[in-house]
Amino acid sequence: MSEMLLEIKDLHARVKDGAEIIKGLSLSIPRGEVHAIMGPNGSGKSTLSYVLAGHEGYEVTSGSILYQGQDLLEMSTDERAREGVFLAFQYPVEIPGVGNGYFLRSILNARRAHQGLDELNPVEFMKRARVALESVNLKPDMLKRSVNEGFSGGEKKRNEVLQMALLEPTLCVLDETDSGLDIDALRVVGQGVEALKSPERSSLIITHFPRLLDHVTPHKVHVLSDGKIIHSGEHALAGELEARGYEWLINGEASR
Amino acid sequence: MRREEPQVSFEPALELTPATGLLSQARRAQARERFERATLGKSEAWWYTPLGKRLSPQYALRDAVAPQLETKGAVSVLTFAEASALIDTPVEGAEGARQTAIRASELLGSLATEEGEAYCALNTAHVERGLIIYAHSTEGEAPSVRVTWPVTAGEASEASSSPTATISRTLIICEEGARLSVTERFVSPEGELISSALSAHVTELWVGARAQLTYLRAQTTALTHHHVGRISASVQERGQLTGTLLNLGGALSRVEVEASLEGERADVTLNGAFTGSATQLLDQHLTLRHMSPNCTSAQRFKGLIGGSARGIFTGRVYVAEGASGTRAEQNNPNLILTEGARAMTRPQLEIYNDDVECSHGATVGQLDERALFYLRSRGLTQAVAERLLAEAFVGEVLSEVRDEQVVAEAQEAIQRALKTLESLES
Repeated sequence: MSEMLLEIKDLHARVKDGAEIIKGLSLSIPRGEVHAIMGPNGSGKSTLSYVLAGHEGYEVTSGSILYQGQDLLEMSTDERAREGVFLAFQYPVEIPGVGNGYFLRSILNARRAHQGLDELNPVEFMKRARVALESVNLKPDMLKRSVNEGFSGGEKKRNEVLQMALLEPTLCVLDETDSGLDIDALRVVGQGVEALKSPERSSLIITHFPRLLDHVTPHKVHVLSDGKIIHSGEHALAGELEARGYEWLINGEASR
Repeated sequence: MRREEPQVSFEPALELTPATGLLSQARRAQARERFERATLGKSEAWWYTPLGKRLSPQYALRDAVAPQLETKGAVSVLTFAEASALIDTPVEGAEGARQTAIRASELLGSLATEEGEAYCALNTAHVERGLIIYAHSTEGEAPSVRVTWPVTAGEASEASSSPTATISRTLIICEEGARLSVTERFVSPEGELISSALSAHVTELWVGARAQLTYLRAQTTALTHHHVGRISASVQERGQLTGTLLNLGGALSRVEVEASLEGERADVTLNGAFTGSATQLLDQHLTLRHMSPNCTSAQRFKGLIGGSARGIFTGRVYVAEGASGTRAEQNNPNLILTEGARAMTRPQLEIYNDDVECSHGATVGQLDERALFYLRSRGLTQAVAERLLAEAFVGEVLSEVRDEQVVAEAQEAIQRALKTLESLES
């Protein structure tokens, strides 16, 4: 099946009223595939994940993004989410006073309403939540706490993967751009994506950290440098990047 | 620096009641004289609340409408009229009630004194409608009383074109060792949306030694109403007062608290929320007096301000010379929803003692953009995300409110404040 789930064409984007950061990025992800984008700091990885999620602090100046054939850039952040785009945050936000259980049920019901499905009542929700909690190794008392408040780094990651497991998104975008990541948290994310692999779903892992790919096997690895994809390869490219760094590719690009 | 305050006057529509056991004619006359010499709202304490500019220059006094009452458990409730009659003319078989009335006559006006704000004098001079709530039992579940004061504009008067003012009062006595829970609601009768009436209510709270009083006050009047409320409390040794003050409705609403921690180890916890929309002015003005050693107090007031509303918080903590071991906390976070909204916060500490721990914090902020983005990235609309965050902000105060109707009214007020946000965005 070669249907493209996500097609980014010659994308140019910047921080609102700032300098251009994405400078002609093109990328296509077929349905059912997991792709990884890697690149050094400052190459535009965070900007790409924010642009995909529709953050208002970023501006697309030209180019297009098609998601399941629809113009993604025409949709608001929350429309994208209801349409099945999920951004797993590197640093999930703490929201004091909003119960995690209530939050999870609200987002699941927002997605279900959009899909024309009935809302889940608290009992039905709990049934599903228990299964999902178990799959990410979280205890049910996590539902009683405020969203991400006081969670450890690993718990926050598990809570992101838990949301992913409940929402069953069509496109998962994982923002793991920071190099200072803890190994446990990384494993949780990697295993979560691996477990969610399906012919219907695609994932895009945006990372600085080749070791994330020890836990999930991508179909393709792309190298992002100065706002463009400069090289694409198979999973083995990740290992090569870990061994050799990015310099050889970036220099190659510069001398080309 | 003193602002010129226009004088607000009151034309009494009613003749003063004859001398009664509860408040003597002499006392009333004295209070009236004191009020006439004072100017309502003219002091530094009213700096942010220009009462004279907002109120009508003249009001016609009307009898307040009888409150609705729901009581549970061992608690006595008497109206001022009943108490006065019992004191003046003993009735056989009603000795208990008479004792309550006599006790009430001792305390009434001793907690909210006419030397205080001018409208305490106004209240003493003219109050007709009042309630005495009395608990002395220490056994079983804490009794509870729920009072709903309908602050109606009253009947139109042919003699006067002035808007009406109603004056009412509550005296709550929680005797030594007793437990009691009281809810006072101030509501506009349904459908009465256009009214520039003023309601002025004084609540006096007596918390005896080792007594526990839980007090919830919810002001949800129509957005055209003016309300001035005062709570005067005295807490004796090891007594506990836990109050929640919700200031939600009204065009202008000032709620003033004057609480004295009189006995050793007395404890006062006051939580509050105020939510503003349109041009509402919501003023909370608290003074806590630590008069004895080892007393504790905590104030936590949350403001959610939208439209071009004003939220004002003044929290004064006074620690007397002998009140060592005092612990006092104060916290006033505010959420500003619109550019036109304002929050003013003034902590004031006055400490005459070295051995004290006082903390205060006040913030004025906006809805957390990062949290909003996070919620929206999960599929919740901007409006739902804002509601979640605003409810979570006020939720810390509301989560302790057991009265479902009051919680629903508070959520409605939150919605009203949030609506001003949406209309700006669209």
